[in-house]
Amino acid sequence: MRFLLAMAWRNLWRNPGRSAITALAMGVAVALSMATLALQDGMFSEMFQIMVEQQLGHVQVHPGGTRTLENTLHHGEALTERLEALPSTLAVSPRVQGFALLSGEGSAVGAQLVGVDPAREPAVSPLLSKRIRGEALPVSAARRVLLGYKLAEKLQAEPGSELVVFTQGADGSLANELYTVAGIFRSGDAALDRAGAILHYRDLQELLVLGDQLHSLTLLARDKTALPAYAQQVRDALGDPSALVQTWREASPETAEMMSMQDASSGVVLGIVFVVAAFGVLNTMAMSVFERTKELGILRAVGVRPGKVVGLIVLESLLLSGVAGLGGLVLGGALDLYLVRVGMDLSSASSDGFSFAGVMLNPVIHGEVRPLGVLLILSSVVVVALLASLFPAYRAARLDPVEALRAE
Amino acid sequence: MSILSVRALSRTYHQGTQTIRALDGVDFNVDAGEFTALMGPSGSGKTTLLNLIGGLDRPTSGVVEVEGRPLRGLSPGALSDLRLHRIGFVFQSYNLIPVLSAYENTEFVLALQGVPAAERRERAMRTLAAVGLAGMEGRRPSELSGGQQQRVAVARAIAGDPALVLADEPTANLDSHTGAELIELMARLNADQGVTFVFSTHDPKVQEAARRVVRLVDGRIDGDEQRAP
Ligand SMILES: Nc1ncnc2c1ncn2[C@@H]1O[C@H](COP(=O)(O)OP(=O)(O)OP(=O)(O)O)[C@@H](O)[C@H]1O
Ligand SMILES: [Mg+2]
Repeated sequence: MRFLLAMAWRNLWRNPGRSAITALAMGVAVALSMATLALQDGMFSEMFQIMVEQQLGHVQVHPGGTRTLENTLHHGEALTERLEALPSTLAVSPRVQGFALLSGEGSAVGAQLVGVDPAREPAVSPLLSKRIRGEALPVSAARRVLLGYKLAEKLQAEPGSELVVFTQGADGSLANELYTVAGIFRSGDAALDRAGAILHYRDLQELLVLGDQLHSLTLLARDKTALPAYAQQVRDALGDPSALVQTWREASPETAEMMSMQDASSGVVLGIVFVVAAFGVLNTMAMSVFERTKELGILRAVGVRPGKVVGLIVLESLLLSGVAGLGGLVLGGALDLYLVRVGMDLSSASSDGFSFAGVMLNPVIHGEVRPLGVLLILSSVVVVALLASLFPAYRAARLDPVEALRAE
Repeated sequence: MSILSVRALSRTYHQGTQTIRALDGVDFNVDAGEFTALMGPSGSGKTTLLNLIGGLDRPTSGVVEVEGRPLRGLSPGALSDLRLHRIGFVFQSYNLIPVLSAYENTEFVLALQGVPAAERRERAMRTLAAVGLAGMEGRRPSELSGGQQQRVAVARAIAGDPALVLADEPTANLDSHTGAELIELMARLNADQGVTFVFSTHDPKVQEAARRVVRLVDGRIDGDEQRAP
């Protein structure tokens, strides 16, 4: 009803100071929540990139059974090409893994060898782009290796240094080859930086006497929201029931669990908005009802039904939260814009980069705005305001008109 | 025809061990078109009686019937509707909704009654003119004098075309001249438009305008006289 709305709006500004302060507090809570959510989402999306896309891929293919050096996928080249031909495949990266003893200028250090295809890998992960010194791996096998920066420190190796790679092949033979350090990388993955050595997969196949066999295939799908369906397509394309095809969630449940913390931390942010809105509205409306006791008695005497009194009070708090939400949206939008464009630099907080759950993140965090998140914040303000107003509204409606009329 | 019938009406309050008989067996009828003053000293039960008639309060015992319809058993919502359509109220002071203009205070009742907008406008304007407030429709209560505010309250009370207007000491906060003018206005509305008024007062000058004076003492009727107009 138009009258109720007009009355509610004007009542809201009878005590402009109080309403403005409440609206401001709620608006600032909305804005800060939007900014916090954007930062969190930005951080989680970087984590997704590092932990999932860079390391796990969307879908992985392994040979079934235990992971040993000898347990492999045969006909590696043919498999890779067949999966690349799937329309929903974005990219495929074949990988070979092994362990070796590296010795350089004195010390010998155990290392994890990762054999990748330098031509294909960049499409799947930014691993090869994490080089901080030296040169890239050549596209064809040339006995060159990239070292994790901590591993390089231990080996006292620099780009151009020579290393002896000592390992045992799949057939039990011992291999002992001379490699040249092409470059040094820093990936953000602590284990890889400490002990990882990246080389051409053909080189590693030769070292390990594997021929055309692979240890795994890492795939990116075009649509990362429908991975189980994509995994099934991969399974069908492989036609090998013994092969293990897993989405990243299946391959690394710990990572899946960590990524689900995103929802939990969004919940904390929403909780703050809830509390501010609930207390703001409850306090403002309770005061406002108390001050208007006589007037509420008049309304009842004139013939306004108790239900309409409830409507009036609820409408007032909805308008209050609407004003607060709108103001918060403008302010929060500005903050979000800044966080998306410029980002927040946390490098002063820790000089050595910024680590979360064992993952090194870029010290400048860029915000990422999910419209659903913003909508959730705004609607929670309105819903909480509605709920918080029910108690004062109920009290206003239950006032004894005779008592109310005696109030001054 | 009686539009109001009050029979054996009692209202007691309990304060600690004390029992206060605010009303003690009141019998009282009002016919359409009457202009009745309810007289009595402070504490005699005038406000209590008017509140019971309007269904704002519930009696300890006894019957109130408005246009033959007993109020007992009506829900708060039904009592609200009865007041909205059949009973107008005027109180001593601060009667008006401060955020609404004089016009809106009057139109509000009509809007609640569901009167269509065009008719609402015409009736609200006409009623405000009838109480002598033409040209002041847009003013908020804070921009009106006490007497003008009471006129808006009267306009609001009669705009919805009620069977009965109850006014509890409508002149008590006005100076005697303004108070007399307000009663004169009510008398004229009674004479010209047939609006039935029951108003309380303890001002002997105000009672002179009444054509019927009912006296209350200690919650009982202590005299009921008709007067020549
Ligand atoms: N809520 C209450 N609790 C206790 N006693 C009350 C209450 N309301 C009224 N009374 C008592 O009931 C009696 C009648 O009060 P009421 O207000 O009806 O008198 P009144 O004639 O309107 O007086 P006044 O001229 O001062 O307005 C008084 O003794 C009053 O103290
Ligand atoms: Mg009184």
